[in-house]
Amino acid sequence: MTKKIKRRQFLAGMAAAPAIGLAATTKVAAQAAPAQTSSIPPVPLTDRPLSDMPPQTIGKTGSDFMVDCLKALDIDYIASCPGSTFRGIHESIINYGDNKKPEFITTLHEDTAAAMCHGYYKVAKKPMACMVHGTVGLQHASMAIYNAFADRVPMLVLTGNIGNPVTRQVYIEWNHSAQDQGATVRDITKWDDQPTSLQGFAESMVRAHEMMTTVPMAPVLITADGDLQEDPIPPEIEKKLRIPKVRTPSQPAGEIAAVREAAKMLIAAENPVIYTNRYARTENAPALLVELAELLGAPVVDAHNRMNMANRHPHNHSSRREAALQAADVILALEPIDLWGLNNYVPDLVTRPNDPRRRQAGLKIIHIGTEHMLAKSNYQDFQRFAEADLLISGDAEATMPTLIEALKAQTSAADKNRIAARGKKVKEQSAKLLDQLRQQVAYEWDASPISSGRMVMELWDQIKNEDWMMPTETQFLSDWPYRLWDIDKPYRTMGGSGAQGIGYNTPAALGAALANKDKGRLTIAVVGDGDFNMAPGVLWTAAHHKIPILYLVHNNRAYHQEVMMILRMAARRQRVQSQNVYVGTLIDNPAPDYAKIAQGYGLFAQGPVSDPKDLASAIKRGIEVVKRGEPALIDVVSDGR
Amino acid sequence: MRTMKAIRAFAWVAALSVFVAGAAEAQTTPKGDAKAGLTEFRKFGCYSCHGIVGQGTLRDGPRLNAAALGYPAVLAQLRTPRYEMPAYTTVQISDSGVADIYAYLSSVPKGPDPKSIKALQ
Repeated sequence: MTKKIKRRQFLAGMAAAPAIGLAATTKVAAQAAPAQTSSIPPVPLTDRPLSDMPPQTIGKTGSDFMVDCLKALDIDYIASCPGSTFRGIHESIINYGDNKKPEFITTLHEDTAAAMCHGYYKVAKKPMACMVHGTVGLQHASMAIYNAFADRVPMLVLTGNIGNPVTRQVYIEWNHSAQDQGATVRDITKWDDQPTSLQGFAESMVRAHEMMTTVPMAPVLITADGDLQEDPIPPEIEKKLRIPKVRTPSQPAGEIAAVREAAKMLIAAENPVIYTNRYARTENAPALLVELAELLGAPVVDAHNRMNMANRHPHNHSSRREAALQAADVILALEPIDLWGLNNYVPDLVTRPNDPRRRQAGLKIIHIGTEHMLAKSNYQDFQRFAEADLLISGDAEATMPTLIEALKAQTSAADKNRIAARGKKVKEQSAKLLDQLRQQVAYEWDASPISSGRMVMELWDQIKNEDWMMPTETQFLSDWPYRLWDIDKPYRTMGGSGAQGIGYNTPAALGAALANKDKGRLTIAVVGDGDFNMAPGVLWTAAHHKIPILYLVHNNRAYHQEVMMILRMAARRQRVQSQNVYVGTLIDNPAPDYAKIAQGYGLFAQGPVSDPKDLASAIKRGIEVVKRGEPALIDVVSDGR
Repeated sequence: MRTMKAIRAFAWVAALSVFVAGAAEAQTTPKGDAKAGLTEFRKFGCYSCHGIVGQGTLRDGPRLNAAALGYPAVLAQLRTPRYEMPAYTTVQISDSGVADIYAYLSSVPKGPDPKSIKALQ
């Protein structure tokens, strides 16, 4: 108890402390701030032992001011599982802040809290915060922070720390304190700070906001000192506190001369192709891309890491990606992420050769992006180096209006005729794709376990007349949504995890659903069983906070990617006849019952559904529940891919 | 990236299928046991890349069902594969085992007419 009192040297009871015989060190501290002790009403003395009667805090506390900062940043939600290193802020959010802006979203794992921020931003286009326990909570959150870092998505991560070793309670608070909390995630955040004053905290929060919302975006970490949180603010300090003005930053666009050069190259091209990956930053981006593609009469190949373009737009040639790229004499790559991988390939063979893909001789590449503007040394998410013929440093979306204007200004009448003819051909090629894809999915329609094509299209049949949004990845579903759904609005999808850290989809989808709830959209998420098992507690958060979302568990009862990889290893070594290849890759025997798990967390749930004929009715019932404002889950026993 | 692998693999196998068509005519497709082939198809993990009924997957393996490829093409790809698929030698699966798998894949129906499927409209 004595140490507790030492930590709270600014507490109101401090005026009475010398009278009850505190240790000399405390007296010295109290004497060092006489004005503070005299300005705060004393707590009445009683004859009870000190350990039963800690001093009370009167007036505004440091963590109240920290909540003022969160409100100034317009943070709507803060996801967290409680931890003592930030108990001051926690209490201030719910009482001083009235649990509004931000509202406390309770999670059962810090990874969930951070991943929710990831998904939330990609829908709301504004950052969400998570608050994680010192050391251990931050370590738990780190994989989700890494995913967001690799995906260049901002989030505000707050953690607590008992910075002063003398005021730490014995044992546990030492374990949860660090000399440098930020060191845990410094390689995977854009910036971090551990301010030692409240004014410093305010300035760091606003600086963090500016930095994380300026491209290249990424998570930021602010460490809130425990004493700063819990101590009252001396009035003379409070009078001077000021939260800097929070501004929405403009984004850096490409230099005009370079953009004009790009326009020149594109106009001169015979077969320009536009490649998009992390291009779209706002909901305006798809319309700008369409305008560009139509101006150029060019096909677009989209890698789906953002909602870049409506999939059925006649210029969207993503389903014939390689054919389009092989014909290109100029590729305009918009935030491509992996430019080397666009034109090269390392096949998964024993020798791991470097194979250039088949491309036109003399292919020119224009790269507009920000990838090279943020890279850390340790984690290798920056991908292999690739050169472009023209590199334009700047946010691709912010550069679009200038590029479009430059194209309009520089295109001659003769160019227009040539481009129009090319555009007509591009549209004709696109028209044939849909029927071919429908025929492909028919081949697996009656398969049991249920094929991914059947599952995806039964889902589509139920949502196509709704205002839907699907936040989850599709690569394990043979990309059927991108191939056969009508992904028309600029918010229908949001791309992937960034770093492929498993356990992203289930919580990130819930973050997206939280944002969609505010917009009145129906959220439907297809998550793998491997992903789901990383964070099943997400379901409790969905139920507790009544976040409407329909989860379909793509239950192939395996880490299926690894089934394929271990088979490949075994086949290379001529050992595939052994059934040992399934050791360590199956999630079976016993087969988890995901419907029961969901029910245990308070959700409406159905399954396991293994007969394809039962799927449509199960989805219909699930959507009815979600439309009532609640989460639901369907366990679909599925084919591997 | 894997999309391209699959497309390239599929294109190659399709090309190979045409190339060996003459040989296929001369070479009788061995009569296999479709029921045993289903067991083999699953036991050897073929399903994991090619789908549970051989329908193919976008990134990992082309369609094999409903006689998408001739037997010689399937056998050639198994024994001396191109691209990333590892070789399945006779140590691992006999020619008769391959014939059984081929019989199974050939027995898989083409599926309903897409126009008859409400969810595909």
